[in-house]
Amino acid sequence: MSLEARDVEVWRGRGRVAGPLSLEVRPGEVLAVVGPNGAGKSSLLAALSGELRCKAGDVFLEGRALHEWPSVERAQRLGVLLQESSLGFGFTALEVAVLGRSPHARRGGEASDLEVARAALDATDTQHLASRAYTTLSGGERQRVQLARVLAQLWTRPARGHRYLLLDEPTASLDLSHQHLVLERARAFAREGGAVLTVLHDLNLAARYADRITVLDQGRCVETGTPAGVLTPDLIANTFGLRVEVVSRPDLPGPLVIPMGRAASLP
Amino acid sequence: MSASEAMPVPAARPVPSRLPGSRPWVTLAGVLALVVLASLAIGSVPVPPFAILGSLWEALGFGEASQRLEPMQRAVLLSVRLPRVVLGVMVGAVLATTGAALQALFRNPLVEPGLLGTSSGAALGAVLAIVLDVTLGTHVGALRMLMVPGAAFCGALGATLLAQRLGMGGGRTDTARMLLSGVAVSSGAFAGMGLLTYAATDAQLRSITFWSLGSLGGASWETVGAATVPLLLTLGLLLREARALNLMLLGEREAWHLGVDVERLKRRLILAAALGVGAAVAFTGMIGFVGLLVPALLRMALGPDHRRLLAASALSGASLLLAADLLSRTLAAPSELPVGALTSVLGVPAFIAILARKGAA
Repeated sequence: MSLEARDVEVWRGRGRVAGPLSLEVRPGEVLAVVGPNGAGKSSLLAALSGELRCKAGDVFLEGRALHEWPSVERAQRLGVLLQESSLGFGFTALEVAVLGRSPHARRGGEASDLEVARAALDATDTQHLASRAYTTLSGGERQRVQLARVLAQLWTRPARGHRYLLLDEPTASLDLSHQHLVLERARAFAREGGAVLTVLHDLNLAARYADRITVLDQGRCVETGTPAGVLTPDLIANTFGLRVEVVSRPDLPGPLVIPMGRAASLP
Repeated sequence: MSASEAMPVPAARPVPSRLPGSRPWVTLAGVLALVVLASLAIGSVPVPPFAILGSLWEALGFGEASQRLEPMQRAVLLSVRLPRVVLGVMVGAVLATTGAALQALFRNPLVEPGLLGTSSGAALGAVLAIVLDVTLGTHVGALRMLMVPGAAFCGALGATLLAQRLGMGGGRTDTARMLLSGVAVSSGAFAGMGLLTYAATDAQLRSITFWSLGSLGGASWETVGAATVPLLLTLGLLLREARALNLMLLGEREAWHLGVDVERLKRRLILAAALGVGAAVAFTGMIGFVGLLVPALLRMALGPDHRRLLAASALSGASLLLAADLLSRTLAAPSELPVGALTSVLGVPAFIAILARKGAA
C-alpha cells in the first residue's frame, strides 16, 4: 500500500528531465523531496501524479498502475497542489474549496461538501477569506486557499485504501508562520493515515517536518533517509554547492542547517 | 503578513452585486416571457397580447376566453411570428451558452464562438451556396430553401474540425494553439468569401450582405424543424458539463487532478459548439456579440459558477436576440435592419452600465 515510482524516466521533448529513479511514499509518513533548481523535482511530481506518462518504468498507486485507475477514483485518493494556479475568474475562496469536493459529488451532498470546505479553510487559516473573490487575494492567501481545496478533496477516507497528498513547494509564497502552519497540516494529514510527498527548498523545514528526505540532483536520487542521516555538510556541499554547518538541538526534532556561504568561495 | 491579511476583514460580506438564491431565475425567465409576448404582439399586423394569452388559455382547455383572435391575426401569429420567435429563442440561447462554455474551456472571457473558425466557416459555406445557386438553383427545387443553411452547416463543421486538427500538439488539444489555428482558419475563410463576392452578381451580393449581418427573417416552421435537433442537442450537451467547466476554470492540470477527463471534455465541447453555432449561423446568418456579451454580463452579476451561468446565459441570450429582432423589424418598418447590429446596440449600454457599477462598488 503506497504510491511508488519504479525505475521511472521522465522526458520533456527530447530531453530526459528525471530518472531513472525509484521512490516510494507510504501512508503515515511525510517525505520531503529537496534538490537544486532544475533537479527534476516538479517533473518527478508530475510523473507521480500521473500527469506526465513515464517514458520508462511506471508509477503504481496501491499496487495498480496509476494510468489504469478510473480518473474519479484516482482523484478521491490522490490530491496535488501545484506551484502556481491560473484561476482568473471570481470564485469566492469558499467556492474554490468546494470545487475540491467534486470527485465525491455523488455521495454526501451539497451541505456536507460545504461543511468540509469550511473546515478545510479553517485548517489553512483562510476562513476569514471565505466570501472574498479569489482574484482579490494576495499570492500567499491564494496558495493557502488552493491548499484548502486539495485538503477538501482528500478530506474523507476512501472506502478502501489510503489518501496521498502531493505538494509542489507549498511554502513558496508564504510568510514564516504560515510556512509552518502548512507543514503542520501536512504532518496532521500523515498522522491520520495519509501519505504526504512535498517538494521543499528550505532544508530546515524539511528537517523539521519530514520523516524521510530524498535528495534529487540532475534527475537522479542522490540519497534517501532520515533528516539526520541525509543532511550532512558533505552531501549539501556536493549537491547544492553550499557550505553549511549542521547542528542539533535537543528541543527540535530534526537537525538544523546553518548556511555559511557558497561552496565555490571555500578556501 | 501583508496588511490585508492582518486587518480584520468583515467575514460575512458577500461579493458585491452577486444576486442571491433563486431570484435570478425568476427575473430572467420573466424578462424572456415578456419579450416573447411582445415579439408575438408587435408588428405590421398588431395582435393584442390579451388575445394571445386568451387563446393560449383556451388551447390549454381552461375554458372560453373573452378576447379572441381574428383569422388574419391567427394566421400571422401561427405561420409568421411564432416560428420566428421559436427560432430566435433557440438561436439566442445556443449562441450565449456556447460562448459561456468556450470562455470556460479557454479560460478567457474574450473568447466567442467565432474564434474557433466556426462562424466564418459557416459564412464561407453559405456564400459558396449563394454564388453557385446560379447554375444549380433551378434544378434543386424543393431542396433549394435548405441549400444555403446546409452549406453553412457543412462549412461550420469543416472549419472547426480543421482548426481543431491544426490545434493538436503532440496528441493533445493545445488551447493556445487551437485559438491561433481558429484565427488562421477564419482568415482563410474570409479570404475565400472575398474572392467569391467578387464573382457574385448584384442580386447575390445583396443576399450575401443581408445574410452576413444576420436576420431571423428566414424563419418558418420548416427552418425551425431543421434547426431544432442540432440546437437543442447542443444546449443539452453543454448544460451537462457545468461541473466540469467549473473545474476547468481552476486550470487544465487542476481539473485533471480532480478527475476530469480533460481531453475528452475539450473534444466534446468543441464539437457541440460547432454543431450549435453551425446550425445557428446556417439559419440566421452571423449574429455577433450575443455569445461574447451575455456570458460576460452574467458572470459579473451571478459569479462564475456554470451551474447558474449556463442556464442563465441560455435565458438571457434568448431574450437579447428576440428583443434585438423586435427592434430590427419595427424601427425602420416596413424594411428590416440587420439584427446583428441591434444585438450590439442593446448589449453595449448594458455592458457599460455594469462595468461602471462594478468600478464604483
